[in-house]
Amino acid sequence: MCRVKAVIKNGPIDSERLALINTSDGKSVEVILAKAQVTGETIRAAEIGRDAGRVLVELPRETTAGSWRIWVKTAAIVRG
Amino acid sequence: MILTDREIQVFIEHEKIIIDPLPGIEKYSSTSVDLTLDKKIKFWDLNGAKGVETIFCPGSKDYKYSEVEKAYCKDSEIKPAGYVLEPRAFILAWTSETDALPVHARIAARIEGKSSLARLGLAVHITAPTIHAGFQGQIQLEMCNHGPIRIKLVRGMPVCQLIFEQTLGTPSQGYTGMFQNQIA
Repeated sequence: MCRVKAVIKNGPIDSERLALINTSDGKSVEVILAKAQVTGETIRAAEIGRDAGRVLVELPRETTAGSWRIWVKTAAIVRG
Repeated sequence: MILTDREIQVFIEHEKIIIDPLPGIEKYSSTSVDLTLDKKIKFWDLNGAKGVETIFCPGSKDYKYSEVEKAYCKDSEIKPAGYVLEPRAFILAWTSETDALPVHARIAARIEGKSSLARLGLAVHITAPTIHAGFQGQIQLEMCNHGPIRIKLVRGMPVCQLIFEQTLGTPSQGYTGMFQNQIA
């Protein structure tokens, strides 16, 4: 498990948050998560694989555009 | 394989399935457990300027659900007296319970309707019933009254059932073995 940097906003209901995550190709994706899956400005994710300078992570829920796995820059990963 | 009521209770005991608050014994059937309706609901309101056509394009690279929701989705709640869902009406709702399926537990689930409500025409999801391994939170319901009669929803009513299935292995996100981080 790892954490991915994100911009956190209020979610559709009190127990949820909206996380905006930058992908390695510069796009912004959004995912609605349980509040407990957010810590500060990071969200819980699972590292699936690595490539030059980027990491494939699986998010705890599907993004609003329909993806579970996204590539993020290595610098967006926070350990612990 | 689908878990029976006894197995669901054992998995809950071992925190491989988390349901908060814990369902009472009367909420179980032989292969499922009922969840209840939270008071929070949302509905789409497209009543904008007359003559202006509204089309959403989820496939567009610029599509942002949060912006669409902010513009067209209204907050509401089920009052103590209930909320009448009109024929053809559609709302977003949530279960009262918070659920979690730890990814290492090898459990996934499906949310399904209840026959008692289905026979009235009430659907509780729109083709997205899967609760994936690793899920955490309140489960969102996409509720639609497909029937011809008005249906009153009451907060806390048993609204759907959760059916648990054991996965064949551990998904990548919970896997810590020798093939971790391998990309084909």
